[in-house]
Parts: sequence; C-alpha cells; structure tokens
Amino acid sequence: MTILGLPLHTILYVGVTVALAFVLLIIWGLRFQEDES
Amino acid sequence: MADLTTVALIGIYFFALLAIGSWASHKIRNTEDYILAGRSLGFWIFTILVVCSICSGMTLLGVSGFGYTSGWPGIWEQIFVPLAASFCIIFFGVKLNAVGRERGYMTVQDYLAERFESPRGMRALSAVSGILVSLIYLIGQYAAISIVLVWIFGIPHWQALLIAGVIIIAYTVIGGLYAVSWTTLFQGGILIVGVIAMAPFVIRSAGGLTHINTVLAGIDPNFVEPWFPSPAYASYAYATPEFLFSFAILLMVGLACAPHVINNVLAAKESRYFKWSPLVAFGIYAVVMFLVKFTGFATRVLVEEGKAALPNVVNAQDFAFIVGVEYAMPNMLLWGIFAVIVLAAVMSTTDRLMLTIGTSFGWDIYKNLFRPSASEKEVLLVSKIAVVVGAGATLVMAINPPQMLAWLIWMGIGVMLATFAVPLLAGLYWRRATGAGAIASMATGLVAAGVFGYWHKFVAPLPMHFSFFALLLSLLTMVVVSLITGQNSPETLDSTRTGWFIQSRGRAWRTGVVETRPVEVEAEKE
Repeated sequence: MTILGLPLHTILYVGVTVALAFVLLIIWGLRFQEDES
Repeated sequence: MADLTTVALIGIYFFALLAIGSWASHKIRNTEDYILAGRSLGFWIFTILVVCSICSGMTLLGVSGFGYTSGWPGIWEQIFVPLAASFCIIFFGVKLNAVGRERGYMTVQDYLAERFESPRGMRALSAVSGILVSLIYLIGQYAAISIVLVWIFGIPHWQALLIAGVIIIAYTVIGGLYAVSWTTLFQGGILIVGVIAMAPFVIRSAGGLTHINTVLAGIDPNFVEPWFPSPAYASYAYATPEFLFSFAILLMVGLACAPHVINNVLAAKESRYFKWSPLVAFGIYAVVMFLVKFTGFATRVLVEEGKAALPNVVNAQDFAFIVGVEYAMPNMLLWGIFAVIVLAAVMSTTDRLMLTIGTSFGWDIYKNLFRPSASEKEVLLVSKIAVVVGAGATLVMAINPPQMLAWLIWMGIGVMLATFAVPLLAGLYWRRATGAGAIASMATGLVAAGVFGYWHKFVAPLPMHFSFFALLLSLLTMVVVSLITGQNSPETLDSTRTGWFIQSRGRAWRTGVVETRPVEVEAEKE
C-alpha cells in the first residue's frame, strides 16, 4: 500500500517521529515553570 | 547575467541590511550591548536568531542536494536539524540564560571557566576551539554565497565574495549582536516566507508529490524507504540505520552546542521565552526544511525526465534548489526574490559566525587572558578588529577554496560535537564533572575528531559518522578523569546551578540557601 507514492511504513516512521517531537515539545511548554528567575 | 530588476532587488536588500546595521550601531554603548545586544532580545527575534544561526546557506543548498542524491532516507535531517534549535534552547538555554544573567556571563566560555574553576586553561582551549571551528564553517558559508551570486550575476567568484563579504563585515562590525539579530529577523522572515511560497511551485512543476515519489522509486526502490539497507551498496546510500543514529546526534547535539548558536541563549531578554520557543523554532524550521528537501526530490525528477540539467561541476547537487526554482519560475523578478532568499539564509549565519569569532577573541582571549585591565572601549575595538581580520582571512581562503571544502565543513560540525558537547552537558548536569575532566575531554574530542575524520576520508570508511567515535572517547575521558580528580567546590556547583535538573524551583539560588536541593521537573525526562 502506498500514500502519495510512498510505502506506508515510510510515512509511518517519519510521521510518528515528527508527531512525537511536537508532542514532547508541547509537554515541555506545558510543564515549564514560568516563575523561574 | 541578471536583469535590472534582479540587480535592483538585491541592491535594495543589501541597502536594508546596511541601514539596519547603521541603526543598531547607535544602540551600542558597552561590551554587553555589542556581544549580547544588552540581553534584550524579545521572543520572536531570539527564536528566529537561533533558527537562522543554524539554518545556513550550505544547509539550504546542501539539504536539497542531499535530497537530490539520496531520496527519502535523508529525510531524517529535516527532523534532527530543527530539533537542534529546540535542544539548544531546552538543555543549554534555560540554565545558561539564568546563570548568565546572575553571574554576568558574556560568552559560553565565561560559564565554562567558572563552572570548571579554570579561568585560563578551560577558557583558552574552548575559545581557541570555538574560533577554529567557526573559521572553518565560515569558509563554507562564503562558498554558498558565491554559488548564488555567481549564478545570478554571472560575475567572477572573487567579486561575488568581495561584495557580500564587505556588506556583512560592515554591519556586523558596527552593530554587533543588535545588528546581527535584527538583520536576521529581517532575513529570516524573507527566508521562511520565500521558501513556503516558492517550493510548492517547484513540486507542482515536477508533477506533484505522488509523481515525484513514483519516479524516485523507479530510479532506486530504496529512495522511498526510510533508510538504505546496511551495509551501504552505493556511494549515495550511506544513510543506513547505524549512520542515521550517529547523524541524529551529530545534527541535534553538535549544531546545538556550536559556538555561534549556543551563545544566543545568553541574549534572550526573559527566561519565560524558553517555554514555547523550542516548539515554535522546531515548527517553523521543520516546515522550511521539509519543503527544501521536497524541492531537491522535485529537481531529481526534472533532471531524470530531461526537463532540467544540473551544471557540470563537482558539487552539482548543491545547485538542485537553484535549478528547480529556475525551471519552475522562469520569471526574472521571481529569480531576484529567490536569490535574496538564499542570500538571506547564508548571510544570517555568516554574520553570527563573524561576531562569534570577534567576541571570542576580544572578550575571552584579549580581555580575560591577556589584558584583564582593558577598558570597555578597548575590548570593543579589539573585537571589531578581530571580526574584520577573521572574516577577511576566511574570505581570502574562500577565493581559493581548499580542495576538500565539503569535507572541511563536515569536519567543522563533527569537531563542534566532539569538542563541546561533553564538557557543556557534563558541566551543566553532572556535579562530579571536574575541570581536569573537562579540559581532557575537550582536548581528546578535538584530536579524536581530527583522527577519525582523517581515517574515514583517507584510510577506510567508518559505518557511522566519524564524530560519534570521537564523542564516545570524549565522554569516556570526562568520566574517567573526573572520577580520579577532586570535585569542584560546592559553592561553584551551586552558583552555576549544576545538577541533574533543567529548572530548579529557583528559590534556593536566589536566597543563597544552597542546601535546598533543586526540584526536578518532568520535562527533563524528554
């Protein structure tokens, strides 16, 4: 199976990694302590 | 040869840069203003400065070139390089900005000298390594500037270098980081908007993503796989899983601790910027990088189908982006805009490198090692002279570039990783790391990167990026030497917020109640 001419596993590997990066960075932002000097 | 519109556009662009530099020069009153823009950078200017310090012209031309030669297995670069900006802000920025403000650090060398209680040895080694790496990297930036100007104007290589070199040197010398950061905001805006506007045209002119991927798979089925099989079966198929692992560390950590990138974190006005700037930097940078890579894929398809051709030169793949845009946008006005986009990418890194060289020399070597009594005015003057001398010398070297230019640039990034990553990370997060360990680790990394880089190029190819082996040796040296030497004083460790945390709740440090242990935050587990 292909999407946009790419094998599904290629889309999954790349897509999941990008999504994971975004999720981790959002978690970082939410957990950041704003009162830090 | 370019038409009048293109010349006018580039002329206006250069004039705008000089105008910003001139405006910025009025804000310089002391060394802190020159080196750190008075620690006054706002959220957007700081975030774009970090992104554009990493996003160089060689990145822009090299990314599309890598896409052209290697297809999708090289796509990981599009994730790791933007993550370098986030890594730098989170793992270096949060602590260094806070401690830098409290302790008055002007450069990262100030931090290393205090943290490792080595005001001369550590400072000298790190400043010299930083200048050396920046000089190597600067030669590569000039090469990228030359590629663009020669292509647009049809002028000789040396004239192209001289025009761009003089303009960048001028605004960097007069305006310091104020000029560099504001011109970078201006240039970063052009770069981001330009790539987002132009790349879709190139992709569409090559038949769209589905067609592009189908053609790529026809050239080599592995071009649409996430990596090449191991071991590599062709010279272009080096992005194997083990290579990509070392590549991830090289790009994400190596670029994050590059002197011209990490020093930016000291200039942010408020620590609360570190909350969302890692996400914003990653988001913006990833979009730009993916689009540039897709442009490289598109150009490969255009060339395979005989619609476009790369020039017959050694580094032909570096022209992939240019050739793709040229095919998709025959309108000369658009060429002019495109030329400005690539120049913006190159110049925004080049000016930061020049300033890093100048300030490392003026502040770390001249002021802190040779003439502690030097006045503000004297340090400023020496820094400016160092910018001119460093930039001028590399300009001359770039006119007659070394045969192994690409190899030298990769050496530069590899050396950054092997030299700076371990002392910085161990210094910030491991209380047992000692000055002797840091000096030994930095020296080992520097020498090992040279040895492994030479081995990979001239003796036998290594399965992973050479810098990874040097990094491991540097880490081992840090651990062994630190454990057999005496720990730094608790006062120094506390005042530099050393420990296994990114953010402390802060009160202990402000009140001086050092026995209160910092509280870990979940975010460090990332």
